[in-house]
Amino acid sequence: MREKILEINHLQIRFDTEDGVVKALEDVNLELYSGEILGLVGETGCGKSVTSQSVLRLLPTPPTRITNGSILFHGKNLLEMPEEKMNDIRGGKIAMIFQEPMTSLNPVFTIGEQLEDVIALHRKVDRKEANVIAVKSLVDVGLDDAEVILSKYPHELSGGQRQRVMIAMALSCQPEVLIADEPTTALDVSIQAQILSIIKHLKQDHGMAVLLVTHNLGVVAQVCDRVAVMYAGYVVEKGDKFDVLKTPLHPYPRGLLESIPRSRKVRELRSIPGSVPNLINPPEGCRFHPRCPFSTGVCDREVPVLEEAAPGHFVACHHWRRLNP
Amino acid sequence: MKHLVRVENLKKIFKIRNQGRTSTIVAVDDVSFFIKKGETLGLIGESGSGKTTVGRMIVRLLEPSEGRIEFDSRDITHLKERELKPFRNRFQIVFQDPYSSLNPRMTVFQILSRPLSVFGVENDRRKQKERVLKALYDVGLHDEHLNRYPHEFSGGQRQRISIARALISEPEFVVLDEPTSALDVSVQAQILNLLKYLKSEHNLTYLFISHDLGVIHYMCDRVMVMYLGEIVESASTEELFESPIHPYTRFLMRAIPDPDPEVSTKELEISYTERGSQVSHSDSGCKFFPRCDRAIKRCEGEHPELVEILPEHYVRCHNPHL
Repeated sequence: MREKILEINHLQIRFDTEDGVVKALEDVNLELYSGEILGLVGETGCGKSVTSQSVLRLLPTPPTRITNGSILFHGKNLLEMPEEKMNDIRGGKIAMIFQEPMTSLNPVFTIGEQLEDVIALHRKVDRKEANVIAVKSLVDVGLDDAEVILSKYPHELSGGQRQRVMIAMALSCQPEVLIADEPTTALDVSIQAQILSIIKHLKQDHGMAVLLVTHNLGVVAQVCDRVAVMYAGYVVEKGDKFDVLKTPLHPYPRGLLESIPRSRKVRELRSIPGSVPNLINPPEGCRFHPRCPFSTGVCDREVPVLEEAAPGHFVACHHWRRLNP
Repeated sequence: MKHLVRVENLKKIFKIRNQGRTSTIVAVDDVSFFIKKGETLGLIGESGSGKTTVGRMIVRLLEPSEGRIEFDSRDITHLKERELKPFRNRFQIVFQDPYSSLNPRMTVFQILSRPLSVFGVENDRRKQKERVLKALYDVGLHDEHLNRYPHEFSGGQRQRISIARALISEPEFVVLDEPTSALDVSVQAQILNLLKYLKSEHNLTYLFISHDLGVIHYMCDRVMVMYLGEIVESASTEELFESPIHPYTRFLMRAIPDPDPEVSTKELEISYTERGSQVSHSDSGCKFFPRCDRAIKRCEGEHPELVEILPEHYVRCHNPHL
């Protein structure tokens, strides 16, 4: 039986802003098993980044309020953990990489200084040993001239090299979980392919569990094992990537897949009408109903629950049975 | 069919000043092509390939360093701003970022009526309003949007406004520079469909610049692939996607993940050790040589020419994948 390393239950998050309270997350339920890559996908404002950042408690409070739910790491609730214990987990047991590697690195220190600092802190080793581990981690992510890279400053590296350094840093502390928030969005496709391939190898060689946040369904298809699709603060469908991407049950992921342009042979792309709702005044009931071609009276009154349609394949839609006979 | 745009030996050299030293970057290196009236020509490449620079030179937002640009059989390469004026409303451009390309202090009406006054297309205020409204309806917006400011709109709606601004002077030719890259896929689909509809409605000709192969496949009749300032392959869309010949084109197609997991999981055999895109090599060789998996001895020292390998299928490679 695979172990549930990370479990997010009924997570609800609010942001207090001048314009009102943003209901960013309503009821998010996710689980990450050891040795798997879980893709968390959705469009702008669906809450995927908020969800991933809340795991390491990176969201500033205020304005953020976590109003419900728990995040269990090996059964312990991270949301109730004292700050000093949290510091051991951040970068130690759970590491995170972000979209823009330039802003994640300090411009006035060399790569070596930054990388060795982190290693010395979390692995509790001296400087010399830290250097050995740093070199090894850089080689692991395909940067063969590691010694040269260590002596450089962030601006001297390309975007792809910087993201590799971030991954090396994350990996150098042998975390159990890697959270990658749009790690390839700022990169060219050729560099993206290399970074994805590294992440896939990390899972295979080190048994690391990865939560991969992305808006790109192609990336999910390529590297993930399971996928959860979010819309306006809810998980609307989750399951094995073959199930979700080949036979999506919810109208939203279906629409998303049909929106991806792939060939000229398609005369007109199907698109989802309208745009994502304002989460200060989100739609009642199912938050997707104003854009849904199948919505009926029940959809604007009742929030659909996430139910197991087939083993391991969950969907939150009042009409999934009718739509998938 | 008639060539609406012709570009010959176009070159753009940027001078970069860094700590007192001046270096040069050849962003576009000897690029020649034509665009037929009524077609959509795709220009694909990664960052730094020079695709945006080409687009900006054609609409004369950037001065070419060398070469020649013809629009409707007239040489417009060195026309002064005053001489260019009769052409300005005939070609337009839509930019990538709908957030920075609209003036935040202007209302939608001001944004859309501006080209009419500037180009002297329509100076009567009542008639201007009629045309602005028509342009708004054309892109799927309404009367109530007329007096709003850009910040009140979503990304997709802003891009609709940018498109309306480009089309209001009734141009024949539009450069679309990554018009949907900043948008979510569901909104991207709306904008792509809109661009297709507008093209047939107004008999437009497009140069469609993108790094997204799927978008290019869906939108274009013909495609050019750029790498480090050069065209490395060009062919009809069908042919390019069915039988790509240049190693770089083939590499791009492998690198882009397909949303179908059965297609996608098979590949990803791209080696992830960096074989140094930084590696310097002699300037005389093929620019793709350091990254190429089909490189032969000749590629290092001899720069390949763009050759018509199959009818209307051009490739710049010493060891093409045939």
